[in-house]
Amino acid sequence: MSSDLAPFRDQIRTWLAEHVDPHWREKMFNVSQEAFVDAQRAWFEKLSGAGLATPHWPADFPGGGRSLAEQKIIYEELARADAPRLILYFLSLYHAACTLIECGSEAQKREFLPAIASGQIWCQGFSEPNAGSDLANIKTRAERQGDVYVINGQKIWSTMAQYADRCLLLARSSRESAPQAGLTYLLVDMKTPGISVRPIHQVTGDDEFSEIFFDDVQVPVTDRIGEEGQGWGIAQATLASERGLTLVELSLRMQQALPRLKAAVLARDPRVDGPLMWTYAEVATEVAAAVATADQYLQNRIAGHEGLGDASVVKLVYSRTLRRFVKLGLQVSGLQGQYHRGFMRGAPQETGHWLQDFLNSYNWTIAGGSDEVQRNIIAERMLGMPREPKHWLLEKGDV
Amino acid sequence: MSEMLSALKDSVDAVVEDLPLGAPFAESWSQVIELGWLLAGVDERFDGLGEGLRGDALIASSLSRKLVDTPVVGQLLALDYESQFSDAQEAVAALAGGDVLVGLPMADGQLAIVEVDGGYRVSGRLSGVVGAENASCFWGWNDQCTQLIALSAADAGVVSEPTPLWDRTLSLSDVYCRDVFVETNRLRRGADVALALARLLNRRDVLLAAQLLGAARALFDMTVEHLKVRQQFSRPLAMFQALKHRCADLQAKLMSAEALLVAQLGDSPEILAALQLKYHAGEVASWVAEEALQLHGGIGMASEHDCHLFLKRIMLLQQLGRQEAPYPALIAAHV
Repeated sequence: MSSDLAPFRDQIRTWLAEHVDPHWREKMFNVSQEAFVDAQRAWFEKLSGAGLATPHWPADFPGGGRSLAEQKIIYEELARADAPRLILYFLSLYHAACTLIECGSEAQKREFLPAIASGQIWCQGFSEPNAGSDLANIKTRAERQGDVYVINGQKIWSTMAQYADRCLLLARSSRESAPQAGLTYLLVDMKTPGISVRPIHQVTGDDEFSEIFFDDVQVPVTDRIGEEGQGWGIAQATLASERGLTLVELSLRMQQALPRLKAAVLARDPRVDGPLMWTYAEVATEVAAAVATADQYLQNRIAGHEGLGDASVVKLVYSRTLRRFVKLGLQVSGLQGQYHRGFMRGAPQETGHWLQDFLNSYNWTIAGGSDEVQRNIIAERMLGMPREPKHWLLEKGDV
Repeated sequence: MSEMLSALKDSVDAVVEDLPLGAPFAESWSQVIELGWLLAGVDERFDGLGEGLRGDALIASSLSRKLVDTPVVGQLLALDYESQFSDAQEAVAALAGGDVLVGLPMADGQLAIVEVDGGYRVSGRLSGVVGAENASCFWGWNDQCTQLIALSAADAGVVSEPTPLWDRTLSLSDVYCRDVFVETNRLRRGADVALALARLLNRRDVLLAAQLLGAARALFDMTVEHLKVRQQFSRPLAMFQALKHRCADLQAKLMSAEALLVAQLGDSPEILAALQLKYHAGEVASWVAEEALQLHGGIGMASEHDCHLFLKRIMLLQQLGRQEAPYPALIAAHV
């Protein structure tokens, strides 16, 4: 890291020291989702006012123009300060913004980017009940009728959709072509008649995901991004939007949480050379490797070279390490760890309430491309191993 | 498995199959009593089926497949304890008929018992009592496990506090005893009590293991079925070798734990055997639970799906049992 960035780091650190509420975790314990949303809005306004919400945007957009090295410093300092994460705005700031910047028309950029910078909330309508890991199997229909597309279908696992103003929607506009070629990408106003949102009650007690139902929803053709049938390619830009940065931050947050794990281990067995501390030592070592993996990936990106599958390695290393981390916490917390004392919002997998953290760790092993999908990417794209046959029914012959 | 045991298993499984998942006490207990399941393990001289621990494990494991909220393990342990004494006819009948329901700690049961005029003063906490609200009495013991005391739920100073759990399908309580006066005849002491109590704690490990493996087997079956039915990439998930092999590994581990359970079902398991069984069953079942949720994918994260109910029950059962040290440490002292 070049030393000329040291003043920048100091400046961020000072600002965070002044503005991060050290008691935000306690304040998010056993509160309503509305209270959580209010806290997120307030924190977004602070970060945004300081130019720290959109550093990854290009220079000609609000708050943008920070180099990757500077962005990395921002995320390192956010983790170091144990600042709340902008969960409510994650989709807007990354997925929506990056998709617009990369693929949007000038008019779309002018309309939506300033709105996002001032707090517009977006959600993502990609996954469906039968299109999870197999995303190309999307069935939601977008039928062109004059100046509008008429949308019918169902989306699932949309983060914070119940609060969203807009939705990044991937829908099928043609059944004739190959599965990937028949998809069209739309920017849907969530207030359009015919849209209903049903939050999914999760096993943790949270409901940050929702189902979205579309019933004859009319979307103006002007709210299409890219051309009809180009949705698949644009979706790749969406999915790649936060590559690396988030995992750099999350790995560092896991490292920051190590003292909490260590305290839990020593509370169970105070011997520093006891077997539980041995396991802790292993986990702490794995965490160091996960931080290094994410960091090296970002350094490579800063230097301008990224290999196929690199991002999947970062995600898989993080998710497996996270699981070991929370499992050790769960193990040493014993029977006490099974007590449900309440629920902390906005601090996924690092609350120190170990069963909640354990359950939340599945957000990283299942959501955003499951471990199994990451393994396929690593094996096929990075290691060059052949794919599984595509049309097993035809090849089997005897079905 | 004996013919009688096999027939018993079929009839118990058939009844349990019709229970809703997480069936509450009220929906299951009367059947447990009426169908005579509590007598499965009891010696024939007390009108039991004489199947011993094998019978008890079968009942515990089967009810656990449906995550039934039941104090059955405590009651079975109490029955076996009483059966060790020759004058037990009346006590056994009361327990088997459900007239007496024992709240027995599934975790710590240690109480401070101090001799006073005309009886004893008892203080302490019984941790992890299943179904305390329905119990007529609570059993606890002293630190050295040489005295066992039966407290009436109505005794002054006995207070049970429900424990809020992640597993919402089990009613667990901590029972606090604050300077409870107990008459002399309610305390049992002596060498035979120490032996019977050691036997009870060993059998508790075995029955917790049976519950762990019952829940794990049901969850695993459900997961395999999901992989056979759920399609992605135009094929059942079960066609992916990577997933199939994970299931095969789970099956092998689960069968090893089930085999260990069967092997340790002698009527008075040695402490090492009991510890190893409880530990191994916990490790295997929690691994099944962890993998089952992953193999279910997103739907496993939704509370309307049953997957998490099994996971939470298994994680809880894994933490019940002896609390004085982690199981590997206890095993190390005997192995």
